Amino acid sequence: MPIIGAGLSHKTAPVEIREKLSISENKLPEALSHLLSKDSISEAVILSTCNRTEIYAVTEEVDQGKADIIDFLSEYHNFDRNAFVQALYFFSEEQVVRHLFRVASSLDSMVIGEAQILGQVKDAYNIAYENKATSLVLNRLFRHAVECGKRVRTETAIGEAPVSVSYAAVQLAKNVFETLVDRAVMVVGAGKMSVLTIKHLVSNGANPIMVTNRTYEKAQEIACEFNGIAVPFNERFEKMAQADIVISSTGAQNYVITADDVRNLMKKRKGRPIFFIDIAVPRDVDPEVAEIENVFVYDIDDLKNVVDENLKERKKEAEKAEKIVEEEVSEFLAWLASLDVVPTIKELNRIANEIKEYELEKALKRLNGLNEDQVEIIRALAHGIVNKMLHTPIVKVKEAAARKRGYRYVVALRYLFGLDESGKGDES
Amino acid sequence: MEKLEVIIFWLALVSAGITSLFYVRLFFIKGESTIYHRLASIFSIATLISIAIVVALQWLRTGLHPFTGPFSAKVFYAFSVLLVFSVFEALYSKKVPRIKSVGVLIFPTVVLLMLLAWSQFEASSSLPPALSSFRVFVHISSAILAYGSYTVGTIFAVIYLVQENQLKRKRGLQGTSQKLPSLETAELATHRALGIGLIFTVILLLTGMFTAQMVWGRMWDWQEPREVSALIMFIVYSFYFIVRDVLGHRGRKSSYIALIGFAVAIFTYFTPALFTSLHAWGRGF
Repeated sequence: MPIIGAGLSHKTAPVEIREKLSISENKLPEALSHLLSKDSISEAVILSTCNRTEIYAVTEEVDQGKADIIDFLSEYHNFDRNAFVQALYFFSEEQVVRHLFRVASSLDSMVIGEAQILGQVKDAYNIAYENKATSLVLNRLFRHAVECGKRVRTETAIGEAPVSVSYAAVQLAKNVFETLVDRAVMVVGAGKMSVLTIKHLVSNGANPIMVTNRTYEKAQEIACEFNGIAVPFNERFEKMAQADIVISSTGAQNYVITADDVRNLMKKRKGRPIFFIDIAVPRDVDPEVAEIENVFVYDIDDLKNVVDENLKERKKEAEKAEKIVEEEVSEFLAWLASLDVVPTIKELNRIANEIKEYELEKALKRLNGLNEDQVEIIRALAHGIVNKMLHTPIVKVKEAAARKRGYRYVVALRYLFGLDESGKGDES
Repeated sequence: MEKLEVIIFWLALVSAGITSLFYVRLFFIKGESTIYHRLASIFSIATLISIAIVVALQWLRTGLHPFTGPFSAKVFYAFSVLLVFSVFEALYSKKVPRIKSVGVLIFPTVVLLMLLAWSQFEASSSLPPALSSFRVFVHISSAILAYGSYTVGTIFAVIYLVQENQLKRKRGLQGTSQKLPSLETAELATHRALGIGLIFTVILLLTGMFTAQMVWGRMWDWQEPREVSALIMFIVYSFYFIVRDVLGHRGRKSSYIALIGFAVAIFTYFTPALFTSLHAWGRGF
């Protein structure tokens, strides 16, 4: 029962192809049943995010399995295989385990250490599990992958420090205000970056959003997007008195917010703290503003420096994470190996022989005065019984192992004969 | 009974020491550690309970109140610091998980107070007759509870100033700033703790004046250094509330006043040791 993996990600395919091959969550059950209708595929999980679409499967035969997965992708999406085959990567056995564990640990992500992927892996697995697309092997594989991802998150600082400017801005705001819920935000100017930052603030509960811009229409446009309020540019300081967080990103060549403006502002605010995020180049907020009490100013360089620093830090943490992944991979592989039929039969024979020899010695010790022929006959008897008893199960299990999900028989055999106490066959 | 007190006192001291180590460790590691968090919580509860038991045992022994001398007073001081902080933690930790990190200053303070207590340990102490009245009990216990609250408030003011300094120096995304509670929380907690302290200070002053009237036949004595010093402490802390709540200077200015208030509080504490004072029996209280 080899495990194979096939897919494409931001590393191998442009977004045009990725979006064509992605499968939305509500369509997964249907897609899984389509995939499982292929003879060579006995278990499958489909992981589809905006950065990757990957199929993990247990197959009877590796090459056939790969071919069937490509067929599935092309049939399901009604998409010419030649258009995407080159972007596909394939893994089997050890590599697929390692790949999945790295994905779950966010080591394969576009932004290393991002937290979403672990949840996405979990969801992908749960959907497959609920639709009975998985069985013993993939159940174990995915549960182990999620464990591995969790371990990486708790044992390393890989997801700690923010690595995007807008996220960093939110983190900072939370060091001034305990929560952003119902904190008023004012946006001066309407760059792309400020929209991204507003999104982050809004998703943290910030409200209301006031937008001001030299062209009032543009302000209205953005205000509309966030259910906010458009403010005429010349009234900006009056409204700013109500804001706790100000994001500035105008294209102006001079300072739009000067120290005098802010001193007046702070009088109106009765000294309540205010946090300026200046993402404009050249800067909008006079650096002198930062010296006023209860005023905190971070410009794009302050944020970028931190982000760059944190990215370096994450790379260091990623090395630790790789080690954890390796440990978990070898643990899983050890378990997987126990499902193989050949070593199982060997082990069964070994145990049967041990029992036979032990009982023979015991019996022969008690039967004194036998001649050599008689001893030989007794030995042959024991040997015959043991071999004949085991012959049929061994032949049958060999046959069964070659069939779909045949490893279940191996598991049963190991369980019934107590071949390993650790490889409990309770997860099918 | 006293033996038992000493044993539990030392258990509490060791437990407070271990808790401090966990909090220090938590403060300096990168990332979160649920194990250390849990251990720190368990040991902090163990510390609180064991100090409470020591106080209760002393109380049972004297019958009226647990303050027989400097040792028992300082144990109660350590207890009140921990109690006030635990109440804050219980109230805020759901909304403000970072408040826990303040333990990095609270627990070493508790350890310090307990070591001071031990250095003044007296065997078989009993209640001096001058202290055996309910009024004096209220007087001393509100003094110590006020000090406990002021200590916690001062620690939050320090946290505020550190956090503010980090943010102003553009280090808001680094470890220290990320571990500490936000400015808003630190400022609010300072305010609350000092508020509780001020209430106890009022009780302290009133019971003191009442007792003075009863015992010495006058309410106030400008010659008595501890009375005067305590009054100044009360005025400084009141000034904190005027500056913060009336004039609206929340933040650095009010935090500095909180620190000045605590400096006066420490001075007040040592007045009987520095001057001839009617509070001489309270030397070290």
